[in-house]
Amino acid sequence: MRTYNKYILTLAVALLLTTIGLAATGETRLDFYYTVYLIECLIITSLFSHVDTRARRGLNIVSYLLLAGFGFIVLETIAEILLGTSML
Amino acid sequence: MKAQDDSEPDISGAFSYSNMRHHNASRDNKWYRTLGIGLVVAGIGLSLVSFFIIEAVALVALGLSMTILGTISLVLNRTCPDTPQGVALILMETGLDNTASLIEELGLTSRAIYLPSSRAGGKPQALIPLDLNGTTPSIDAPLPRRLIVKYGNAPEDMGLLVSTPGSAAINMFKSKPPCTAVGVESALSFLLVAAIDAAGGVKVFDNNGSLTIEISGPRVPQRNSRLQDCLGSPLASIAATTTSEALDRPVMIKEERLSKGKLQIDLEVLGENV
Repeated sequence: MRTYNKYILTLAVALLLTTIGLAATGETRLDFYYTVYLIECLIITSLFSHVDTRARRGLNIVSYLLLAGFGFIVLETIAEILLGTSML
Repeated sequence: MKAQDDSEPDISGAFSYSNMRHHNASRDNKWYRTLGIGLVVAGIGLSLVSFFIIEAVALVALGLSMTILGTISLVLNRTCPDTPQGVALILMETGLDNTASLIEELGLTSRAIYLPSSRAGGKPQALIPLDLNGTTPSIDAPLPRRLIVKYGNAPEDMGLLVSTPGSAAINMFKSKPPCTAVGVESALSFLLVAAIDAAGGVKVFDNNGSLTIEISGPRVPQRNSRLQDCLGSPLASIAATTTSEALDRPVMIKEERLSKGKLQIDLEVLGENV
């Protein structure tokens, strides 16, 4: 449990500080926020990769979902460049 | 009063400790679920309101981060152990009490020799010789998987082959731990810190033929009993079993001492040097 608590707390602090930092710099691109969140999640999850097998499997699924979201952002950007219109 | 505490296991204390651990486990499980649901609902709500009404990207991002965190909490809640920690502790206490009764009834005083699975019938176990006579037995041939075994040629070379906390814990490894001090440290860190959450950290020092294992922040109670004199504390037992299995050699706990929140265990590797 202590490992899980450390993991959740680390992630919460990292995501909160990122949001505050990017908001303070006037960042208005949502996809940029998402990309930074994704990178942080992947790094912190890797640092806590010694959690038990079932937890690691569940966290891998979350990582895949987040990567799918990133894939959607990439596709949306490509479509915007090619078609000139945003899907969102 | 202290002498009585040393000689007899404090059963009432053990059960109150178990209850405390059980409540902690249940509370943690509920906490992750409540946190997860709360963060997901609040995160989605905040994102939608911020995107469509307030039109503030930073708040949408904050909602998004809350949703991610909530999803991860829900995943962790689903992967919490099915068996409450309190039940696991009661089962361990029961098993150890039975072994303690057996040892006390037979009047055994020898230190146990931890055998790897290759020399103990496919499962790592501890051999408690009936009488060591100041010598360390060499166990080269695999022993049969029985309670009372004969390990040498002399008539008095008899002993008890018992399962220890380490025998069960070793099943958590997917593969055999690497045959080096670093490998043992890595395996013990995974087992004690991550898998069973019984310690804060583990360091292993190689002393040419013996290993010193330093466990910081041990979270398993120590007891002064004959069982502990023979087998060592539960953490020492797990450390000895893991080392024995990694090196594929018999291992004996020479000494263990608790000082400044660190448990130091000196292990003697029997046979060739590490």
